[in-house]
Amino acid sequence: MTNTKQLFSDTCNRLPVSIEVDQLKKQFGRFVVLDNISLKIEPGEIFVLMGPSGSGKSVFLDLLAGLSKPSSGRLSINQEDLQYVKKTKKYVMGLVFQSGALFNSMTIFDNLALYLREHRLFNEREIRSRVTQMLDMLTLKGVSQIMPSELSGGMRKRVALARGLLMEPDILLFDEPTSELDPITAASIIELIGYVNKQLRITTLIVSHDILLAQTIGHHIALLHNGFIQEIYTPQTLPQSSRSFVRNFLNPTIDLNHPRFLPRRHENKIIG
Amino acid sequence: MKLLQLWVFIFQLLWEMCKELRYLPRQMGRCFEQCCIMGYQTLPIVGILSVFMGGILALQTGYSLSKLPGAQSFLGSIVGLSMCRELGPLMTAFLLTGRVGSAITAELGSMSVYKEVDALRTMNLSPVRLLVMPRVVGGLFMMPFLTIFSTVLGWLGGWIVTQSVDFISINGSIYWRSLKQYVDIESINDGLLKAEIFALVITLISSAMGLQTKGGPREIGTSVTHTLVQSMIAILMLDYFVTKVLL
Repeated sequence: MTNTKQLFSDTCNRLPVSIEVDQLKKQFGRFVVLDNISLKIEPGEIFVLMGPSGSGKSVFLDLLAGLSKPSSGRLSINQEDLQYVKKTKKYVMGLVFQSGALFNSMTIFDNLALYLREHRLFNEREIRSRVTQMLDMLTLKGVSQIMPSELSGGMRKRVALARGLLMEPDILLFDEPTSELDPITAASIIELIGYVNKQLRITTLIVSHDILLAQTIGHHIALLHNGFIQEIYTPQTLPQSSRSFVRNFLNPTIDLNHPRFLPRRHENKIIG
Repeated sequence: MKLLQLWVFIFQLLWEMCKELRYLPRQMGRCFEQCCIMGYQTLPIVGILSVFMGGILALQTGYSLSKLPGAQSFLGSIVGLSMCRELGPLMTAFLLTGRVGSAITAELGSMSVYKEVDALRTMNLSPVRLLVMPRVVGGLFMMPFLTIFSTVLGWLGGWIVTQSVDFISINGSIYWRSLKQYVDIESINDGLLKAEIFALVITLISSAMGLQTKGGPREIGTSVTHTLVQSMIAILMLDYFVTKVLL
């Protein structure tokens, strides 16, 4: 990984950007998914948004990526409205999807080269060189001519990250980067994200419920619960939180006598 | 309501595509790929069905006309005009819907469901430019060839029947002379115009249905079924109105 800065010379020369979210609300019909979300992601930091499944984390990511529009509130990058930023293509955003979302009809090489080719950023020789270097950097040598369906889960995530990095983004967004992976592969993905952030200082938002990830590479951590963010923590303050939801989320207890899935009124009958 | 939304989306796609037309030269590779897929998928089945369609038409008409002395000499013109003005474009359109339209919806539907379309959007790449435009252009380019192929094979099918069935008592030269006498360039152009309209409608409906797919594999299947139904209804309705205008 010695040539990271050389490969991302453009990114290294740019100043990291900040993300501001102000009173953001998103609802589908009458169902409010996100309510009054306000936060600020500092330039170059890793911000981890955690929360139980179905709490609206991915909806938040979609809003930030510009894939859907908020019901109300404001999203801005370096104090410029997101809609304006998307329209003018002022900042580049790389989104690494949970499933990878690799183009299944293309080889890995074509997946990685697509952005550079379609935006005509470099000639074919330079594109080939950049893609090859990126594959080497992420220890993905020898996969360039195979199809995404032939890759393992960890490799798919790494290829998706490579595709995001080749865009030389100002902002990197991750949707559950360690889900469905074994602990070792998950750890290597966490190291990779942390390393890239340290080297390139790309402002990063990670949506995850991986506590290890949040506490090892996150600079700030927010917990989303019932559509709200109640407090923003650092990795040091998170375990000290007095909120019962936070403590329960970090250290869930397994109680076979009072399992969570059973309705309370049936408890006595079944256990008794 | 859903039907109205679909047609609004189809017109949006068409408008988006018109705006993206300046990028067409850069998408020629993808357009060529789509032409090959459409030709490869559709040509054999169009050939087989057209021969039989022309043959059946000659058989039925020949039998009916056998009761009127001398009327069978018009068989060539009947088969010729029916195939080039109506049956050639219509049958090719139905086959294009079945073979190509359903494949487009399934592919784009799968790309939508598995977030590949969202991935394009986050890369500031227009799905209309990369996915819809090549398919529409491919359809518009291949449809005239397929229609002409279908029409000619239909004529041949009719000729084969006139030569092999006992109750049709005309020889080949009378069949071809009658066909040439009534089939003019205007009739062929009318058929090709219809074919182009059908190709545009089929590729747009199937792309729109694919891009609007949400959910999972079951919804992809539902979208494919809707594509077939919507396309066939649209083709028949358009056929009526276009024929009325052209006659």
